[in-house]
Amino acid sequence: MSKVGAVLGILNDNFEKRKTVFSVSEKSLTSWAKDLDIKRGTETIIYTGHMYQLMPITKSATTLYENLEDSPLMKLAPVGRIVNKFVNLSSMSKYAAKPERNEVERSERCLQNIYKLLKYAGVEAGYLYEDELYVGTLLYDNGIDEPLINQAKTLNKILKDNNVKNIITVDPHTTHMLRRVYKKILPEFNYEVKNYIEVLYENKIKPQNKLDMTVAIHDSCVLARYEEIIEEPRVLLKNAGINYVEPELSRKLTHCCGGPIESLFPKKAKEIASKRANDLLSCSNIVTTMCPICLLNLKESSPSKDSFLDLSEILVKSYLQNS
Amino acid sequence: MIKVNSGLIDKIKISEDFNASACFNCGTCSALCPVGFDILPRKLFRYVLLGEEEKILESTDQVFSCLLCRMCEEQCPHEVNITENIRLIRNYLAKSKLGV
Repeated sequence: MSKVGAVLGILNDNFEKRKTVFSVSEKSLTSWAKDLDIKRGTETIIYTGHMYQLMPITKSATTLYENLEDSPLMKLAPVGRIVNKFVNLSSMSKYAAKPERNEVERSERCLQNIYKLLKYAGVEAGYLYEDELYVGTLLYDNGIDEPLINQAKTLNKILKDNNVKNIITVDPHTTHMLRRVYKKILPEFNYEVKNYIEVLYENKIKPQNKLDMTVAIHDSCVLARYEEIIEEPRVLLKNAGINYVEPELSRKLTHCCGGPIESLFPKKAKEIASKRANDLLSCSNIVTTMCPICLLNLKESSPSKDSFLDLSEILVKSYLQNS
Repeated sequence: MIKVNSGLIDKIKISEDFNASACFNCGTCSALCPVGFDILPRKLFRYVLLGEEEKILESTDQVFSCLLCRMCEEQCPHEVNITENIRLIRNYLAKSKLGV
């Protein structure tokens, strides 16, 4: 069995057996919401898709895997897949590569920012808490479609049981999966799905103070090319008083952050991210991303880690904080 | 000697979105590819259309190193669904050859 087969096999086995690709506890997935008094369910919900929450563990696992990628230990990957069927290796990996506390807190803060911004926009969104499911992007992108049909059916039932009609997603990949892919694989999966950036834009939120700063924009491939969400973040930034600048490759020609292959080829992913991070930093020493995967990859591949900010981290400073 | 599997295309073309035959080999797709895809999509698609299964299998790492970022599709003058084609080739490899 090849290395690719073994790694994908482990992810697939985890998904089929444990409903997720990496092991994250229910508490870690939902703790961002604990002090926000968010209603369970409701007609409109915020859907995290676990993406922000997975990033701290992805960071530590990728660092571990990057060190193993070319080592003789990788020959044991097929054995790892067999063992993983009985012992949750993903769960064990958090001991070998423990997520950093500040990364966990930052991910939670981004989700809180997004929820608060939606509330400020007049959108009362509920949340499914532990009933929310990972949507399976990592599997779908790697051509593993079959287990997703069951996941789509399960999620559809959960949404119906909670009388959900509208879903507000927080990251590009979950937006795409729920808006296009789930509808394709399960025709009855029929909900109004919008990314939070679209919702803030459509609700014409007004800033509480104008920020005097220059920011380079990194468009997410999925938001810009798959979902054509390009102008909305620019309008939100402009209204906040921000002077945004664009790298040579932006909008529909945005350059990928390398993130989609970090699980299989971490060194190659880092090389691509490093090139993109340099291009962005040549435009401004502050860069905004709109996807947790882009944020993680660009930040980790650059010495200027503090330069990279999630869009929500910038928006709260203008829209939610009085000057 | 090249072994040809004439049934290969039927196994890969499980969705009407698979349109590798629309590619007319211009190579524009690779101009801005962030990966510098070792095997050009046009070459990979020819292997599929010709049933050269061994060549596809040899290219497993390259097939799975595509970012699916769609930069290639922005350049493609013939509206080839490059990333979906690659995703369906992955589907075939994962199911039939990689034991996933």
